[in-house]
Amino acid sequence: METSSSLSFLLTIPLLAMVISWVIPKALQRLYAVFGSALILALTAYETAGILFSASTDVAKAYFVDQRLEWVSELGLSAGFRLDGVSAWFLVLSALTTLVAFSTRGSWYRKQPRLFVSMGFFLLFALNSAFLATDLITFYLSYEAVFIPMIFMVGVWGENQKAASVYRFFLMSFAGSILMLVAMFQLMSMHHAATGQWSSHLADIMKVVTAAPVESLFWPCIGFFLAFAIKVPMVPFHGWLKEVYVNAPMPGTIWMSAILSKLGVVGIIRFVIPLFPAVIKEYQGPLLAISAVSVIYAALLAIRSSDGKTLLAYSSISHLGFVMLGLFSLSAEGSNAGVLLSVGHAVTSAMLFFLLHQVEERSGNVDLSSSKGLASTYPVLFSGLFISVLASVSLPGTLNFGGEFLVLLSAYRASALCTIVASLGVILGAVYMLRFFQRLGLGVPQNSGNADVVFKKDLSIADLLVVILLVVIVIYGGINPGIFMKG
Amino acid sequence: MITSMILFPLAGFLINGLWTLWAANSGRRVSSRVSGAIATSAMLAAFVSAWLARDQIPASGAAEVEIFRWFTLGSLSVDFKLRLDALSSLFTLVITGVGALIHLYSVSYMEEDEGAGKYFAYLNLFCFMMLNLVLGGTLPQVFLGWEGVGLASYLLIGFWYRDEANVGAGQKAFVMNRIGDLGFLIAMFIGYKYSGSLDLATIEKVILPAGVGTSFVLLVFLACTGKSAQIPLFTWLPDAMAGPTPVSALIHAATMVTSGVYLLARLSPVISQSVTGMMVIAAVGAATALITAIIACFQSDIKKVLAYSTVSQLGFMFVACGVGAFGAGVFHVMTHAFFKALLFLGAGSVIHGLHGEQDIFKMGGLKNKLPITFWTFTAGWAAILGLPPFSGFFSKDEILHQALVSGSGSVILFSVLLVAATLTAFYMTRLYWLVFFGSPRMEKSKFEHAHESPMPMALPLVVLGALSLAGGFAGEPIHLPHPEAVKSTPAWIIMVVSVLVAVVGAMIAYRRYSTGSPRTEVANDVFRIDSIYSSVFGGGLRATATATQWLEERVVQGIIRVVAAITDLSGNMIRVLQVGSAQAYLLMMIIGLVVMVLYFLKGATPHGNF
Repeated sequence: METSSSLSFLLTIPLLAMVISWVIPKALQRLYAVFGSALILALTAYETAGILFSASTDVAKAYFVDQRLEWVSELGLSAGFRLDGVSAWFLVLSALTTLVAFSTRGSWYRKQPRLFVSMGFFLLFALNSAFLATDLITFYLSYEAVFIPMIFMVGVWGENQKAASVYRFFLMSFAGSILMLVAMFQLMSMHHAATGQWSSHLADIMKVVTAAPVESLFWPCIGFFLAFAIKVPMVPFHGWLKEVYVNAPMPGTIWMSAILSKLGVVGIIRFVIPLFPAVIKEYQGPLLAISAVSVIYAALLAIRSSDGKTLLAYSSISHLGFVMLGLFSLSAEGSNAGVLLSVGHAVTSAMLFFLLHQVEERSGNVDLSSSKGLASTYPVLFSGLFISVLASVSLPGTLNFGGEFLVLLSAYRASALCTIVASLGVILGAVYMLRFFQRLGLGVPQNSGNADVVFKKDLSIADLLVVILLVVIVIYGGINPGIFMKG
Repeated sequence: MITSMILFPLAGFLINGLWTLWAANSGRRVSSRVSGAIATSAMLAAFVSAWLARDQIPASGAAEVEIFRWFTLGSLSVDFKLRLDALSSLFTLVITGVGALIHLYSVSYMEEDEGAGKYFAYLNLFCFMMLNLVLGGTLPQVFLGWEGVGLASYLLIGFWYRDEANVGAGQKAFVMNRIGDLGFLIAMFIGYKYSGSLDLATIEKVILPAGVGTSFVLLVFLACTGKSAQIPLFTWLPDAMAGPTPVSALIHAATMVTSGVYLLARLSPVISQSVTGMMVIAAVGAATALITAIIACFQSDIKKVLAYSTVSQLGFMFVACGVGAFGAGVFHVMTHAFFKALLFLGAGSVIHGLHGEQDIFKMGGLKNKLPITFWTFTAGWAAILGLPPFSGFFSKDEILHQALVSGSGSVILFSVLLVAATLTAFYMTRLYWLVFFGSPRMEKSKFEHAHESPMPMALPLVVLGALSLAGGFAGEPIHLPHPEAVKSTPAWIIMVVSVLVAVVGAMIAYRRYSTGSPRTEVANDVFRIDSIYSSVFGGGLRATATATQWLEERVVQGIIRVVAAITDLSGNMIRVLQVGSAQAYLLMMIIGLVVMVLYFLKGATPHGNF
């Protein structure tokens, strides 16, 4: 099935879905979005099944489908895409995240729903394009295109209408990508200087970069690294995150935490480490250290968080710190484990935010300062939430355990100290996640007294199906994590 | 047979769990009898499997069943496989046997409880995880069981979750266990680094460099102090009594808390390599045995006495491991499982009979009201005191003996244990007397309504009573390498001394508490360990988190505000962004691209690539 037509198909189908959404009546937008994204998920899984379920663990190295379109060949402006074991999983994850995000309910389906749905599908397109890109310019354009729907999310359906302040935080992210663009210029000039040809294709750039002196690569490396460190984010480049996560509408938060953060992860795997191995090797110590600090620092902030959304936002940074620890252990094992944990984090955080959204709909808020005691009223919802809490604390038997365990196991060889420091996150994670669950679910049921509470019932069948799908992935991945490790 | 042993409890968990969820969603109630019957049959079937599976153990070594490949990473591959040898077989028999009895007991005990379906699901889940712990053929699988039993323990301690104190106790148990689990994790990293494998068969044989070996042993032991409630991580266990009493009997007395002893015995060839590590284990075990025995003397809650007693008895087992007598430690695990489960179930029967009363100073004179409970409790009492021929006599005597005569044993260890044994006799007799003898100290109506427990509760008491009486004659059930005896103290002297101290301890208690109105000496937090922990560690964590928050708000966010302010100054960009955000953004992107194209054109032309 892995033909170049399947690649174009995967790229164009979200665009097609976006165009169709313009003619769907407003009242049917949610239905269309949920079914459309479920269909795209199924098609994506079908098209990539050969790679996803391949027994080989070496698919990433073999270019399954590699497509290169010349735009302006004289300038070396081309578009390159590659479908392999890593990008295939991220395509599935972005479709899955889109399905979960579209399954929410809220103002975004009342106020300009058409815009919301088309932006969602556009986001999916941009994400897929970024995950598949093997060409610097293609990657940059897709990476930047992801911002557009996010700005709409916060601006149009944002929670507190504090759009002005939120844009400042976007700026920080934007600054990162400008630096990356500059670094791309530099690399392309180096290629031109060396060969007399312009090219932005990764494979061409790679040839030149491996021959280049290490000193000349320092600044380009910094440019790429900062862009991705901000995107993930790693401490201390995380300053933008809280404000954006908290003010974004829930679907926006789901997209950001589950899949947008993975753009940074993929960027590091695909660009930073292969292009600048010598530079990264030289700074491996500090990189491992800030990864470990990210884990602990964000976990401590999560402990102090007084509402569910902030807590999950910080917990996200903490878990991504583990991912970075794996990547910067600079071994094939660490990088594979990092990908595995990224998948786990994507699924788990989509599930956590989705269920938190369900809680918010029923209690009116997700404040954690006192216990709500909702578990006895909504047993199914809270069973799902509990499973996602367990996955989040990486209990063995869940998808996240394999990732976290193997990350630490690989990182231990690179730096025992950083690994031990990061492992403390295992304890802190239990502290804040149990408190999170306790405050929402346990204790004596409280009357919310909130007139806005719309849903008095437990999860609807459709929501339940989404949760079951996620639970199945989390448990199946806990039993057979090998399926997600194709690096 | 080996596989079916773990599949039965798993099936029971899934059936009861899904049924409970379905019922909750459709507003129905799960029948406590039916769900109890399902769970109990699952455990009975597991016990039969465990019994039959003994035949599959080869004369030397272990039977292994590979179930599936769990994960692979580079040269490491970890299988999900079950490994049955004499040691794990003994544990499976205790888990499924005592487990089945406690399940049966729970059918009556939880009959009135709305959440019975959930309760039985959790209890089966616990047994499934516990079996994984002792049958796991690789360290990650043991760790799966290790964390899994912690999860079940958390769920069952906080079973009545409307009361936040119960939830808090569950969380405390989980977090303190996680501290230990960190030791387990890092020990695995070390083991992998030096052996290139996580298979138990390989790890058992690994020879670690001296310093590394000690770290490895201490890390493994840290894990044990969490799960088996030893100093410094023991304070969660008394709080864990917030759960239903059968849970205390199964998880917090007979099985889960002995995991640490299992792990040390399992890894005994590696553990014994480190003399320092072994010394620490023995010393911590002895200190725990003594300190918690003292605390037990001042408790008024019947379950708390038994909880501290459990911690103290586990200390005995760790001393055995620490002096190299792993077999004696495991022997005591077995007899302790019988008599401590019995004592807890007996306590549950008393609590049940008195409709929830747990204060021993509000009991008394129950011997004729609850005859079955009384007689079986007597067997448990005699066993924990170590009176011959009750089971505890054999195993405790063996530990005392080894603590004195083995190479790493000493007079100090022996004396500390002897004092702890005296105190054990004291607090148990105190409890025994205050509950069953003397005049009733509760309201009259309560005494009159006190009733013996129904059949499903009485039967497990009788079976466990018989095992507490006769279980010691089995002798050391497995043969782990024994330490060389370096001192020649005749075994009979130690036997006499150990019986003597038990009698002395019991006599002192009898004299103090057999008077008409017993003195109510009660002090819950005798050494103030709990409050010190909560102010030092709890406070420390809070302070660190607050400091981090300050850093975040003042420094990190401050920098961002400064950056934003600079951007504000640099023209109207921010205002443009606010007005027509997306369009402006697109514009900026396009301008960027145009600039880039121009840059290329400029750079490209002179080289004449066209």
